[in-house]
Amino acid sequence: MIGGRAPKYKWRPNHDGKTKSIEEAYQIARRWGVVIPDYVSFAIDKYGWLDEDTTAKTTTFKEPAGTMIYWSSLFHKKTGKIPFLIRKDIMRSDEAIVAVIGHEMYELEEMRKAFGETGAPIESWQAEAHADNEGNFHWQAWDYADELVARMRGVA
Amino acid sequence: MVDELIEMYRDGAITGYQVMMDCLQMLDPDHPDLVLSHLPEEIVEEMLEYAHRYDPTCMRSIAGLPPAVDQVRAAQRWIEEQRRKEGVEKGGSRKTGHR
Repeated sequence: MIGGRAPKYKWRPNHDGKTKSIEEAYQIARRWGVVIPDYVSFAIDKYGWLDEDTTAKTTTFKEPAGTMIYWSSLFHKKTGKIPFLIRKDIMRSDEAIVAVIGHEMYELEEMRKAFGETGAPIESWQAEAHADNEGNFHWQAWDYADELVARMRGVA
Repeated sequence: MVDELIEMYRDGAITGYQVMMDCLQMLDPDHPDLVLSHLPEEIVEEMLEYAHRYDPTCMRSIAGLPPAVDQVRAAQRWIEEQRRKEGVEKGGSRKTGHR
């Protein structure tokens, strides 16, 4: 999700206009230093569910106050992976691919470090994922994504 | 859209929880069967558990609004009614079998 802290750079579309596959996106992101764990999977949002402010997303929890959300709650019970949907148009820009996958992986890893062992009430996850909480994991993840794009442009 | 959600779930692109949540939020409380009758058993089970812990007075969401109380309660009633009917049918069959 973008909201609140927006990315600093407007991502440039690829010159050849080519849309990348998920496998190609993994390769591109990893080439620029993004760590994508084996327990994560991305799929293209082929039905267009993600809105203009949502570049990618994983499971959205909506629970009563105080409900504990565990790291295991993020996993698909049959695949054993944490699934992310990524918006179709992102795949037309290498910069967008690196920024969006980088953003999501940074935020996920910070969540894992903070809540992975013991879980946390939904309020804690909400505080770190919320688009308007300056300095939270979500904001830090866009900082990281901006650094990646700057590196791709040779301005970092 | 229910079919699309189930397809994406079976492809591993979204979790069962996400299917459950999206189905609740599209559910017409007057016609819950339109959505619920299509769902795999494990999603129905997850939805019933969710309905039991759902508390409209204190919902929190990572993003977007939570499902409305009438949607959740309509789903709960429909599922429990289906379970009751299935229980009656199974009970009836067993009885027949003993004869």
